[in-house]
Amino acid sequence: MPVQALRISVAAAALIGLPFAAQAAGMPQFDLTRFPTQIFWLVVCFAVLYFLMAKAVLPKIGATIESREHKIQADLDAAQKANDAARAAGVEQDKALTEARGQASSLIREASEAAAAQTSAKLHEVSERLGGEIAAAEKRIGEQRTQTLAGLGSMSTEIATAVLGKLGGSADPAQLARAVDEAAKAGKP
Amino acid sequence: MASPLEQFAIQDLTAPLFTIGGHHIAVTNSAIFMMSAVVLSSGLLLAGAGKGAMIPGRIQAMAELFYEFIANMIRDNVGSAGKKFFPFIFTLFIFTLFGNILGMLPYGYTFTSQIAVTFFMAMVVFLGVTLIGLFKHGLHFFSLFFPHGAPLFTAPILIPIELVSYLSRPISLSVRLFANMTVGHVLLKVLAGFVVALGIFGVVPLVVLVAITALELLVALLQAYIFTILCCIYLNDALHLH
Repeated sequence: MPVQALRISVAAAALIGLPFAAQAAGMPQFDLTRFPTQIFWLVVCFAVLYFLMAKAVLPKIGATIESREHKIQADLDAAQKANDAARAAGVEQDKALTEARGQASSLIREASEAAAAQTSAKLHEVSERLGGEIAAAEKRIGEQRTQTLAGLGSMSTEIATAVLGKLGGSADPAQLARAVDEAAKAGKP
Repeated sequence: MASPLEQFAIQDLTAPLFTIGGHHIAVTNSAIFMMSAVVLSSGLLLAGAGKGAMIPGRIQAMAELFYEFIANMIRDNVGSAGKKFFPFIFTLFIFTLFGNILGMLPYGYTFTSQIAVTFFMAMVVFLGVTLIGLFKHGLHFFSLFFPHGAPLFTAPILIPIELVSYLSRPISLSVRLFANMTVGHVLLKVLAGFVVALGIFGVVPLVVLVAITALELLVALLQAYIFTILCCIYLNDALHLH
């Protein structure tokens, strides 16, 4: 700073001598007789411009800029508010969705449990019924079989008697039945 | 060929209108351009401020650009205390800017190339700023001439230097603007003289002339900016000391 100050002071000292040199060189700027006129017009023009700027131009532009900033701020605030509301609605929706999902899944679980229970009950019933039927059928078959087997002995005896008759022989029916019985027993696996 | 300095002569365009302190005041070529600067700038800015539309048009955008430019300059260099001086600084910038730019028009007159004008403006700023400083800080204002924290024995050297530096502010401020504008226009005039004198070979200085014109336009903008920002810095010194 002092260096610059020194430089400026030297320049200033040189300048004090300059006007005389410049006047001699014919620079119209240093014609002191023309100073008052210029200063008069400078003061008048500057004052008019200052008045126009201070009273008309600057307050108006300032108000415009300020109202624009207010408007932008208000718009930004409104946007922020809308954004917040949208976010809150989103959270709300998510919550409702989660709830509904939970409800739906519990409903599904209940329904499937009920269905499974029903099915197993029916299955149980059917299998019981079928078991009963099968047992009855087996019993019937067993009876028939016994009957048939019983019938088979006498039939074999009759056939054997008939065959013997054809061959011209005869046999004691009791002996024949015993022989058939023994053959049947031997034929059994 | 006319002297390149002739363009700076103040010419009376009317008979003296009235007399102030023995000085005849007439409308001069310089005055015409000062008035043009006032009319053009206020016309443009009034048109720009006029509608106050939420979405600015071109002229309004330009007016707002000027407004924001100076408002930011004051905010950055002076702070909130500078708000009161906003209309003055703004007027200073607009007046200087339009003076510089109008001077670039062919047959134009650059009133900012007059030391009378720049020195008067600089003196008003200098005296105003000094009075503001004295009014705000009282005698404490003179601490401006002794940097805070400097060893006491340096005072006999530092205080005169700072004092001279402070007192030369209006000179450096006014000469910077005046010299820049004067030199630029002398250069343009000399080059234009070459264009005419060299005949067909005048194309070469013509090309240079076009380039220098662009440069001078930049200088016109830049010097208005520098003049204004230095006023802000001086104002800041007065308001906040160092």
